[in-house]
Amino acid sequence: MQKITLTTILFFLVAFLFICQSGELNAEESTLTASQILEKCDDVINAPTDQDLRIKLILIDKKGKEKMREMSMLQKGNDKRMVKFLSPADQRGIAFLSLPDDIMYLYLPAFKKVRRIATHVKNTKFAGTDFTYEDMEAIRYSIKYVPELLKKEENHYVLQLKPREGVKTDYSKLVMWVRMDNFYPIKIEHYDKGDKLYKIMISKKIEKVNGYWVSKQYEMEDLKTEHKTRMMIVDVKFDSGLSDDKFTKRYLSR
Amino acid sequence: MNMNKFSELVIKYRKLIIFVTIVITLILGFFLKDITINSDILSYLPQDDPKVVLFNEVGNKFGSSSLAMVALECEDAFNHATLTRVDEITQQFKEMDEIFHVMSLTDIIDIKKTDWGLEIGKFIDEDNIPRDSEELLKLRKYALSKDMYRGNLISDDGKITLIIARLKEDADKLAIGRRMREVVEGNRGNEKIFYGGIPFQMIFLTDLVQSDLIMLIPLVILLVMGILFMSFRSLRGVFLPLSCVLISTIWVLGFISLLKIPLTIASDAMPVLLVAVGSAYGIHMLSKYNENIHKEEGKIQDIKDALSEVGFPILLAGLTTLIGFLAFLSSNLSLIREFGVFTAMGVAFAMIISVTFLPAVLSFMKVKRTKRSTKEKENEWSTRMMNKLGGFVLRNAKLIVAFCIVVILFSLFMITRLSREVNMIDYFKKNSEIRQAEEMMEKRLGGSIPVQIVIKGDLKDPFVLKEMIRFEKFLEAQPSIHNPQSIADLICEMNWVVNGHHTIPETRQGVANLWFFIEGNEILNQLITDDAMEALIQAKIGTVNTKQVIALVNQVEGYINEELRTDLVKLRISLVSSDFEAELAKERMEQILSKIDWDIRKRGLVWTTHNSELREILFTAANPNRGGFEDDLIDALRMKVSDYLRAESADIQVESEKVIAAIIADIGDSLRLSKSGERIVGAKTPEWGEEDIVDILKKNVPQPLYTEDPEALDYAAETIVTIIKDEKNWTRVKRLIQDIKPFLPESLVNDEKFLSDLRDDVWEINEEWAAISHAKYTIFSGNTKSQSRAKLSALQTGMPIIYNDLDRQIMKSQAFSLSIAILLVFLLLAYRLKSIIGGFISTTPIILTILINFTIMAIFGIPLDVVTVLIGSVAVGIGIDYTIHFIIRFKVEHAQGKTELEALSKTLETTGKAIIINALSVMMGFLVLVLGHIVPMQRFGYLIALTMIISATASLTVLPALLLVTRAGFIGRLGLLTTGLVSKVAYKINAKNNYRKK
Repeated sequence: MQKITLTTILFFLVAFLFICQSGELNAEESTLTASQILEKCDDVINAPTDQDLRIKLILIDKKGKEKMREMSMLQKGNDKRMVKFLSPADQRGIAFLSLPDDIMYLYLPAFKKVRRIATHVKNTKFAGTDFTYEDMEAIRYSIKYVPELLKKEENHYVLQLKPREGVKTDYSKLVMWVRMDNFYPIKIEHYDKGDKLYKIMISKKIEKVNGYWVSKQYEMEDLKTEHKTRMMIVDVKFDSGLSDDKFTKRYLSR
Repeated sequence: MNMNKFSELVIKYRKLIIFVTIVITLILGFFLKDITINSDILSYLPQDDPKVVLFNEVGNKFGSSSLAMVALECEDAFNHATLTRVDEITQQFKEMDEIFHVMSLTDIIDIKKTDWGLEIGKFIDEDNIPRDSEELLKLRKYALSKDMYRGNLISDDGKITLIIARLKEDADKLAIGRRMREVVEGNRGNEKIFYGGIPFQMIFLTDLVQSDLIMLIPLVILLVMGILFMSFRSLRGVFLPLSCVLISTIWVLGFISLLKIPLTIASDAMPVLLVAVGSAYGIHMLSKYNENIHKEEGKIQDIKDALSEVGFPILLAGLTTLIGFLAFLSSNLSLIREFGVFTAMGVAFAMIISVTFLPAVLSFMKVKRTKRSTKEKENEWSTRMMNKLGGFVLRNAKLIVAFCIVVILFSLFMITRLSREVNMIDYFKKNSEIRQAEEMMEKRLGGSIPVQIVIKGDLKDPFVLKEMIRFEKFLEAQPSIHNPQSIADLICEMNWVVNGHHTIPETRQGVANLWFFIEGNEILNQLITDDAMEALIQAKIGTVNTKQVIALVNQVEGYINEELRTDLVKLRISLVSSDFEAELAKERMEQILSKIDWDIRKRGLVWTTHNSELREILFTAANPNRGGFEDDLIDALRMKVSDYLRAESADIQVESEKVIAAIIADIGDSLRLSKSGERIVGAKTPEWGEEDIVDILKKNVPQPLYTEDPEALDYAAETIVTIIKDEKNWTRVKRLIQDIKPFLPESLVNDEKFLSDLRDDVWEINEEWAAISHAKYTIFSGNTKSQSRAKLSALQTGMPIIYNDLDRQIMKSQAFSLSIAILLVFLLLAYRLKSIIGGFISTTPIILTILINFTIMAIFGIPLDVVTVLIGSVAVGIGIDYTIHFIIRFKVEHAQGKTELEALSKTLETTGKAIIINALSVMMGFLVLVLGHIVPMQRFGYLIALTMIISATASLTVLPALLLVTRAGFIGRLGLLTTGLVSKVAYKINAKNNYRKK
């Protein structure tokens, strides 16, 4: 207990010093530590209290053929999420509800059945995309990874993220490009267990909506399968006060 | 070219010849280091063959169908260390770019039904391999309960686990196979390791070819040296002819390497063959030299004369041998063509070197005196032998000819029983590591040879998927086809998890909903194409016997052509006209019956589908049901509905027991009245009675419970209808199974696994949609209007069909190359002897030889394979020499005015002896191959050895017998032709006297 207090005090002290210093020197970013950059980055991504999104997914195979699907997504905090597929027609109505503690429900309209579903293997790809269940988790990077500042480019920090001890992940490391001005990540390289570059995620069209920074287009490319997923946010509402009712099993079939 | 002129030139440029020969040998010898070996069976086939094209196409789409398999065996594969090793190997395989897909216990999709829902993931989490023995035991039990794993990734007894890698089609199978083996060897533990599948077979084969070459070439050289020393008794007698064959072998191999053409399993025999066969030319040259040249002075002129004299016979003998080998050019199989061309080239080189380099070298050497004493003694002994033989032939000419005819007739009959073997595994000895691995996999894991069916069609169409399931059931019912797997199985598996029965969902939406789970999963890459328009059914064949494999290929082909329904009309059963109803029900009954039949046959049992009572039961069941709900079913339903209404997740929360009681009572009444019951199950109105339920709910549920959410009633009604339908369906199926049971083979009545198969087979009685082939539809309904259709097509591919193709090609090669060789030799001899009859007679001994060879192969079950197929033409090429030598000598002797016996005796004494010696030495050369490790090569070795003896014997017996019996004019006027029968007796006495005089 004492230790924690001590570190907290120390942290604030250091932080204070930094703020003073940055005020004096007027070059705040240049002196941020890797951890601070990652914290800020997490803060920016997870800023809204709730989100109401309409998403277009484009799956692109190695021959360049595209498949399109649409979904709506409601998210409250970073642990409640309801995803519903709107297209293609034969998958319309399929819905996912994820609740805290890895509890997930699925509704299949063809059978009018709700089933609890679990996947203990997080590297399973989600619905034909290049995003795995792990990629879809809304866990803060700083909780899973230890950052290290590799270098500074003109407008970006380049961080290397290595999993914290005991964290189960499919990646041996991430390399992340973070914008200096708003701390939004624009590119994340994912390395597999053999330390080979495996997937690249790129955020484009980073805009400010309702005071929050949001990337309206993500792209995840799997270098091994040469498959790509483009995720486009068609419509976005923040902080619309979504009620907990929307995140119940009953609501899955609606 | 005139021979005299030729020898003139050879002597004139003798220094240049020696120099050039040495330089060429050095240059080509340098390239020997780059020689490679190609053991890929597929590459031997013509690459534009449609079967090969399809095979490659499928390989590109779904990963190569030559699987590389690693098996780990221990007491119980479910232990932490073994599973960790499996994972380690799997991971390292996956990192190889040339590998398309890897499957193992630690990396395979698992769709699991749990107490609370379902779980999709991997069978074993590679990051969390269990250590706890109880957990491992559970895992083992689960794995052995699933068709997807059992017999596929884990043996029935849980002792052997398999890692299956599918290579990319364009991958260098040999190189990647070697790297895979390194990975496995780098992860060795206590388990016994087996390597199976084509890539590993190729490695073993390549290594064997290499080590055999390294061992056999020196052996055959030693042997030839021994034979040479025996006959010449001098160092030069050993080394000069030997240098000719060695130089020519180096030239050919260097040339092959220079052209970057890899050696094949057949060309493996070439160096041995060249050494054994090619030495003859050098021997002829040298013995002529020994015969003619005994003094130093005038040596050059003497060599020139010897060369002019012996040059022509050498060329003629070489030419016929060339013909034998060049006949292989007619083959469609590249390995046979290459073998033919390069061996012919080697023979040509040996021939050329023997008449250029050899005399050139001799001209620089001192003349030696040869000892003759021992030779004379030998002569006496062998001369007596030959005389005896001559007498025998003369006395029994007709008998010999008659005997030949019997042998020929018998052979023609036996040839039909000749077996063929194209399976690569047959190349290895029974006790070899790879053969044992293969046998283990065959016995315990269903084999290593994949048979594949490509299905084209809309794979999200339930009826296409249902046809795939039918196909798989058919496959499994065949002996030695195991574990068919496809996307349809995965869909069934998921349906089982969601709905409790292992069937294809009825609707497209249902399929799509289940598909959603596995979308993007790696396993799909090897099951379907991205656009879901092509899929693969993959099964394993558990036999390496070519005959059985080919029978299976034909079975499958028959199913595709005759039984597979490729054009279906989809019908909503409740909407078909009543006169068509019965036909449709009959069709559905047949479909269900055939599935049950296959499921029974798969278990090695037989029953009859022609029981009229059974058919009646199924026919009734397959008819659209309009029956009411019995009381016990209604009671069960009331329980379920009441459970639902009490549940937290219900669309309307009804807490009052009174309300619930009222609702379920009303539902019960409604169903009993059969009004909504009819609508719910298979009714004419497809609205499933939801409105009735909404009405009941409205009547009973207090309004305040749904004022805020008026749609809640509709959602609740929807769920209740689903519950009712489910219960009704299950009850119908359970009853039907009870009704069918008395007709089943007794051992299956309590077989859980079979009963669940049966449940899946009959499940379709509940379905509202049915399909009937378009042809039947137009006949029965009289309706030709376009309907909702499901179309598909199927093609068979995989190693078995390639083997089938190879088998056909081998047959063709054999027939073609052999006929061509015999025809050419016949033409050459007929031309040379200026007699058609002469051509016929002189080809008879070799034809006889080949027939006897085939008969022996048939009797002892020695199959024709990619190497033994060469024997026929090789035997023609080499064996015909004996005939030529014999006939020419006999003709010469006879022309000198000798009697038949005298001519025969003289020919046998001289040429005959030479023929025997030559045949024996060639035979010894080929017998060396028996010491090798490649089975077809061993067969080739002893069979060629045998044909050499037979053909030599035939030349010395059958040939003269034929000449005597036919009185063939081309030999010259034979004495008996005019004197008739009386003088024939006199001739015989004369012959006896003659013999005594000697």
